[in-house]
Amino acid sequence: MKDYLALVLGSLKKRILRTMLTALGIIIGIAAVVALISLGQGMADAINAQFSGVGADKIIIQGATAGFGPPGQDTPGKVDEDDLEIVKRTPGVSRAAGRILQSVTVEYADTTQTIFAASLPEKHEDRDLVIGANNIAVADGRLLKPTDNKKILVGYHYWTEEHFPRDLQLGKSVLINGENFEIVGFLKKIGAGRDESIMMNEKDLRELTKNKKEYSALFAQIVTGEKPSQIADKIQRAIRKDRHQKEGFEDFTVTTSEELISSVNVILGVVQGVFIGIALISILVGGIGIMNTMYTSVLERTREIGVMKAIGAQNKDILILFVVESGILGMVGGAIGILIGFGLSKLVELASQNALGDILQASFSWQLIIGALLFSFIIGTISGIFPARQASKLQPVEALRND
Amino acid sequence: MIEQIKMALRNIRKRKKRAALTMLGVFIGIAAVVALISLGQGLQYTINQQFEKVGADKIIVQAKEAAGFTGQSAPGKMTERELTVTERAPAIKQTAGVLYRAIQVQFNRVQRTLFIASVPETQREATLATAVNLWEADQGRLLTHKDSDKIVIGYNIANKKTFGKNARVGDTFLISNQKFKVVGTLKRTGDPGLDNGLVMPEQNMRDILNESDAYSMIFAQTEQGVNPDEVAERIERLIRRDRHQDEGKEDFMVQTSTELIESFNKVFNIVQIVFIGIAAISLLVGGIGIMNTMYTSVLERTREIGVMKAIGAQNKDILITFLVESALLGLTGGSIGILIGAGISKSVELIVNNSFGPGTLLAIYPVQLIFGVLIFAILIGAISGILPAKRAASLKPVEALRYE
Repeated sequence: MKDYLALVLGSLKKRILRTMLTALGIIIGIAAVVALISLGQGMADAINAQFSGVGADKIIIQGATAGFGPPGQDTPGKVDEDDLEIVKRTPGVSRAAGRILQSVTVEYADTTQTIFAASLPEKHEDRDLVIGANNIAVADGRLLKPTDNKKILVGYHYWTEEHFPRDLQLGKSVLINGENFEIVGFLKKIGAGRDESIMMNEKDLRELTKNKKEYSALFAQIVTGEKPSQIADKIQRAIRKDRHQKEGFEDFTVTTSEELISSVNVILGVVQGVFIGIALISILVGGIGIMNTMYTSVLERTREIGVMKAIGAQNKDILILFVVESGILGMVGGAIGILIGFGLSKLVELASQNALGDILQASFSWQLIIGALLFSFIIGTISGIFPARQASKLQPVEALRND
Repeated sequence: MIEQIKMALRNIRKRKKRAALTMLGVFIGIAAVVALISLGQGLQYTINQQFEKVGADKIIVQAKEAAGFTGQSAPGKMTERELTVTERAPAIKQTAGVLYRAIQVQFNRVQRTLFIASVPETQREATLATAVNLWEADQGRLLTHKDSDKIVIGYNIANKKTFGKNARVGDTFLISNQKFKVVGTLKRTGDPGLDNGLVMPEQNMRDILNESDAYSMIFAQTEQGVNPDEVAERIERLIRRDRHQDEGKEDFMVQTSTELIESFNKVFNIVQIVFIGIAAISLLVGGIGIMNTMYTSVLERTREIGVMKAIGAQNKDILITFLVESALLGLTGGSIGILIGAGISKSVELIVNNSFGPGTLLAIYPVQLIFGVLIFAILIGAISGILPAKRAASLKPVEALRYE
């Protein structure tokens, strides 16, 4: 095997330009695939991390929606304070809380913005659940107290980026749906969508939107050791009974956070699959380049092959020699491609962090690196099989006569 | 030039397998790009045609939404009052308000949450709402302003067993414990909301929702010959004044249908560019393959080049000879690629239309696409050939003749 390697490296070095160009074909393809996979994986990680803040042991209850259609449509089924009580009473539920999400107009420095307002429950245990599950913490100022009146917390997005001609400041007042509210705290980063909101006490948001007892969604945390899907079933049955609805006729949905995560991952997987599929085409083209180079190489070395056979080389030896050569071509290309792909995705990561903040982190698992190396080696080997067979079947006499 | 093309063809034929493999590299990439562009363009064309049916003289007024979330009622919602204000704007031919809501619907002992749109109560309003929403009867008839307790169902409900079986004209749906008779089905629109939804009279919908005067969207049609953009601005100013809001502080938005389609096209183009960009990587790799083949070719023909130079060929002649050869490689690869790409997108079109109904997707091949791709393929070939051709041209005759 060592002899094969020495021979192969010698012949690759002799045609350094061709070797480099052939490898370049694979390098580009592998770099593209590696960059796409690592960025896609990074994105999946980021999304899963957001959900893991919520935890796999949470259950979400909300009104059923049609799932599509123009914005601004209400959900037909509502969840309200009575449902929250039912959820809390369900065995296996340790804590539960309701939240209201509602867009409101915020006026500051002569500019009006439509912003999402989220409610914080007043009850202590409910509040702890919401704050804990959403990693709500202040970067500056203080959190809301249950007794606070007409005070708000400002989401990360709205105090770190320019939305009003003047920066929002602690202690300053803003007009929300025409009423005065004081800013008491700036929130730390929570994660993508949820940073683009303001938070206020439930009572204030209810008054502001004339909403007596409805919630946008209820969240339940289950007792450790219980299965989320079983508890979700129990909750569904309890609310169904309360509403006198038959199975399959509910106007609300009960989802576990596990289900949410897996449905997001499915979508992400499909998108990534399409991108990588298109990028794989370039690796195929690179493989054809290797095949071409190997055919040329066989042609050029016909005499050499003849000599080797004349002094006793078997068909098998010649075959291995050429397959190893093309395999190495593929793998060298793959190795460099991985490095370049790594660089590319780091660049994209930097660029996106500069533009959008800390959301994307390129992820390089050892499976990706080993897999890409192996894949490029296999591509090289497969591309080399036909030329290598042609070489191994040459008749020594014919081959020697060739010039 | 003809002489050089002949020579190039001879050389390509001499190394058939190598030429074939080199072109294979080019045409795979070209085929992918052609297929993606023709399908993307076709999709865009179909959607733009839908927009065109709506007409450029329409204006849409709706509440502003906070970014990132849906399903919430926005603060600046539209009501009868805004409808009246819009009507008063100059150069308005007709207005109509439509409610869109998700409502629970029961049929065939199955319950679904469907997206429902309302039909206005005057004939002129109903006509406009029908036009902008592209409601077209497939079977039965559309709703008129006089109908009550009647519905028209979307294409999928009538054809895709949304409720376990296909609903037909004459069937009865239960909505909010009230019976509604199906009087018609809609043609497929490609909009999942409408195809899976239904249409009912405005008064029925208000009763069910207990909603006295809100609208989801207000549509306006301008008179002929006026600029819709200007009318849209007038409407915005009028509502702003009515709501006592300052400019830049509105909680609603007024868009013309042209603006809508432009913003759609902008997003669509970005998506398409990303896809084609990734597919174009394989063209780059194919080009490198051509370069490689040409270097090998130069190497093999060193003696030949020496002879040509010895009998008087200029550097320029040698350069052109090799450039023509590599451009031909690109051109041939490109032509085959276009054929295969067209075949791929036609098959995708067939498969999609078979499973989603005719006219869903259309693969189109504009002349610009075909010529553009051909020129692009020639360029790739020629550019890849530049370095090898330069090397060939700069060979010293004596050295070249001595080479073996």
